[in-house]
Amino acid sequence: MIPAADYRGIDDAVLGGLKKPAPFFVVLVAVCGAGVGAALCAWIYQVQVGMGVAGINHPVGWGVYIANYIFWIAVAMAGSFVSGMLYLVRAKFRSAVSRVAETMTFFAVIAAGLFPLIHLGRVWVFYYVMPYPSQRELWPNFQSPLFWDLMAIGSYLTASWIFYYVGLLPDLAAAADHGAAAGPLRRALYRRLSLNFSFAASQWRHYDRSYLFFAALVTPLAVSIHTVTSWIFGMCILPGWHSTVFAPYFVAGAVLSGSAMSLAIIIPLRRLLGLAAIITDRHVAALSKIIAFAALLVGYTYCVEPFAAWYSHDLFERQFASFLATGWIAPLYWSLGVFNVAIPLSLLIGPVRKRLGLVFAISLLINAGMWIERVVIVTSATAHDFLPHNWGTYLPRWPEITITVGSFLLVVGGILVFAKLFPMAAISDVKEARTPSVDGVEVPPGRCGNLPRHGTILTALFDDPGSLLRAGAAVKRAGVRQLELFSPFPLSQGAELLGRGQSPVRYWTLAGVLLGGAGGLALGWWSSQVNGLYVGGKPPGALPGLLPAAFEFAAVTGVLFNFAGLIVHATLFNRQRVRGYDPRFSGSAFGLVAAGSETELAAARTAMEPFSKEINGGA
Amino acid sequence: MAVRDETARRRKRAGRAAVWAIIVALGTALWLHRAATDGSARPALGPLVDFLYFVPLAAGFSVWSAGLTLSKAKWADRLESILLKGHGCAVPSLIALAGVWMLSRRIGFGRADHGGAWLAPAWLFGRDAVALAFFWVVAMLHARRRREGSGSFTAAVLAVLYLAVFSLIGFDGAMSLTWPWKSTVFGLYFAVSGLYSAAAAWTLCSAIDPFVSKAQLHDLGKILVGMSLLSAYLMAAQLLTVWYADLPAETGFLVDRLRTAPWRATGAGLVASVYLGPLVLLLPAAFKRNRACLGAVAALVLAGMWCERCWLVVPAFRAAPVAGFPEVALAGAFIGALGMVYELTSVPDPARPERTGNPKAGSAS
Repeated sequence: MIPAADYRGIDDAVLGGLKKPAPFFVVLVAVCGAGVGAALCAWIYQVQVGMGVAGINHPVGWGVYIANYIFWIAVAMAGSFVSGMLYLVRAKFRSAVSRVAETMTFFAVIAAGLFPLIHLGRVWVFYYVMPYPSQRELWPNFQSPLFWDLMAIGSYLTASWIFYYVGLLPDLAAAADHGAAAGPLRRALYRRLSLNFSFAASQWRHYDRSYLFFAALVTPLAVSIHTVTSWIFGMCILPGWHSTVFAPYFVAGAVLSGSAMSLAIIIPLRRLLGLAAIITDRHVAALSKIIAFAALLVGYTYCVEPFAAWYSHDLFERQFASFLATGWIAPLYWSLGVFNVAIPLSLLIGPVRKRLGLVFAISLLINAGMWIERVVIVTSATAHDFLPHNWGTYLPRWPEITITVGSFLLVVGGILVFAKLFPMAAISDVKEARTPSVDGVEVPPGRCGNLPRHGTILTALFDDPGSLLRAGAAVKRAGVRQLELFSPFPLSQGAELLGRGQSPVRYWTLAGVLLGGAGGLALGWWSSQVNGLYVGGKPPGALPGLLPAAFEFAAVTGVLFNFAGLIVHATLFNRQRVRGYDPRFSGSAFGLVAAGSETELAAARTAMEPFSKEINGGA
Repeated sequence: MAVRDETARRRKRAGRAAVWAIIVALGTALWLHRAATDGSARPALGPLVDFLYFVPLAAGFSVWSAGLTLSKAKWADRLESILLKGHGCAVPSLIALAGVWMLSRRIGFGRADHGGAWLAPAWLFGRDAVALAFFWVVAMLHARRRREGSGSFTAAVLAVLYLAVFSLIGFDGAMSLTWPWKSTVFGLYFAVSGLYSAAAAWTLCSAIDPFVSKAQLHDLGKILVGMSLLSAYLMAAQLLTVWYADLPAETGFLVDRLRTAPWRATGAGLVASVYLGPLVLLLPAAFKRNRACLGAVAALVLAGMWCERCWLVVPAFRAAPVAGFPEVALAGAFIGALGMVYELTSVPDPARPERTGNPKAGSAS
């Protein structure tokens, strides 16, 4: 464990992971690549020969592909949910695990997005479901859960990738300055990708606000994507699918499987990358508790489903519950209670949480259980519907198995590649989490102006944020009003010292949300009027059916506007870093830069001296 | 000096408790008068609505305390002391359940077409009473553990028990009224909305207390917004699924509440006050930190949630008129009972800070 506030140690530990991979690592990536290649071949074979090569047939038309889709959506959801939600509730342990969870989301959403295409058979006609003005004047049905799902995947993919990238910005800048292990070419690339982020207080105030809004938008988007996925089933009238509890049930299941997948990745990765000092046993224990909590909710829904069937005296619900408990699917059904409730609940026991090998094994078992659960949900209802003569069975065939295994290797391989390309812990967040809060600094009122483009400046370096803020306050009291502060992580008092008020990024975000929501509603309503059809008993333009897609439009537009606002206000479009920037500011030093007349600079120097370890520039 | 202060404080509390007792007596008398003169189901619905509203609210206090314990939250500080008074509602809640049980035939439980033996009043209210009593025993145990500075285990048990017990009460007390209509999310929604009411009551009490800091009010505001979103999400998951499937056995629930006057207007009012109101009204941080504003929103939520319980229960009896004066009087009696419990339940109250400086000023927590 690195001691609190050892910023150089944190840089070394995280950026050390970027060094050249060991042969074992390369072999692992190669194995993953081979598996993905085999899956690709199986898919090509399926496209060439037809969907008959898969095990899906009447009455079970949805099989392992759709189960895989739900499984990966769940994992993708949990990555951003864990990162965004924990940010909103100010959970400090998030800082160490968020990057791995977000990277997992990055690849899981790719894997998830592929399966509807694979299941489609004729993959080249996928664009039929997109809302665009076609010559045939055919529009997708905005009231269909399948369309909601398309919008949810598109929105979530966009939002989670931007969220990931924005989180990376300060770390890419730090890697450009200090990532010696990465080599000069990659460091130049990091510098470009970091958009010249300069760790200045005038940037942090926008970044901090913007990140909060990203978290506030990505979290409901994450919930919505799995909610909408659950509604693909819940809105049907088949026993076993039509259930009002499906939305929270799917979300709880996603948190369970996603957190377990995060742990299954974190535990070996911290060893492979030497991150044990950053991602500690305490972080593993905290994620374990989330898993146990989610398992309780999943267990609750497992009980509620058969209970409601019994409570209502509904003949079809009762026969379906009986089928699950005693039919050919019963071994899979009963295993769910073991894999997804009993085993995860063992994490409530303290000594279990402390044994990493055991936690890793439990995480894998939970993922196996959650995958089985998806298969049970997808296949059971169609295999055993209202009519006994329509009942059937399902068994996946080799193309389905190969593609399924390939999807797991795609995600694992992708994470391994990214682990060598990008920092696998959020450096600035870890530094912030390990820094004691600075109290007792009285910030003088008044607004500070930007530094001029030319002219003399005075730069002072500090070891800790407290000295920086005290020096900044002293300089401001001395009458100097052209100031900039630099810190390796956001300091709320930094923005206060500059007296700039709240970031206008919030207006961008609000405008994006309102525009997106209104636009989504308008497009849905207008497109439903083109042909004016009643679909499934719903009149064209019925409001409840338009709301889910409008929500997705609102959230994704909010994210895009938020990102644009951040780039504009934090001046991330500049080709140069903020004036006065020193590469040490992205590492372990804090900086205060002042500009003004000679008299003002002399006064600033006098004010800085008691706190600073190094002062440069000035007259 | 300290003894004299303590005696004066006790006298004040006893005086306030007496006022609450008078409110209980008046409200109950007014309702009894109506019940004696009106033989229809209407007067009997009041106790059911109030039971379904006030008991989860009171139980929610204990569960929020359990939540603070489990999350090791430090921000709440002395705010938890009010939550630890929740278990004082054990006896009143069981009395209320007994009252509803006595009126069960009049309400409509145990009809010939009403779910068979599983929903026979004796079995239904018997199991609810046992479950509720068990919950309160654990709540008392938790309060004792908290006073001793521990309570992680009892907190976990209490949280799980709350979900189970109040899901059951939701299924039995509200959903079964429209039997054979069923909704698997109903129990979860009922339990979560009880926690929402408890959060609103906690926020209202805290907003009145001048010693609660602005940072704490801000956190309470965030909880209120979070709970409103969660409740809205669960209700939307229920209504949208029913609307979309369009099954004759299910749509009745929706039609009675969203398509028929006066419940249609009530439904719209609930969206504005309970489900989306807090999100819009408390969006700016300054509003969350403002005592009056936060207190007003909490009060709006509390009133809205009572209407929501009426909205869940009363439309099941299509002929029954809307809630009127006797029902409001009875709700007043329940509020009086809560007030009495608040005044009379003994919880070690950490010493108040000296009144130096402006108590309205915020302090970072």
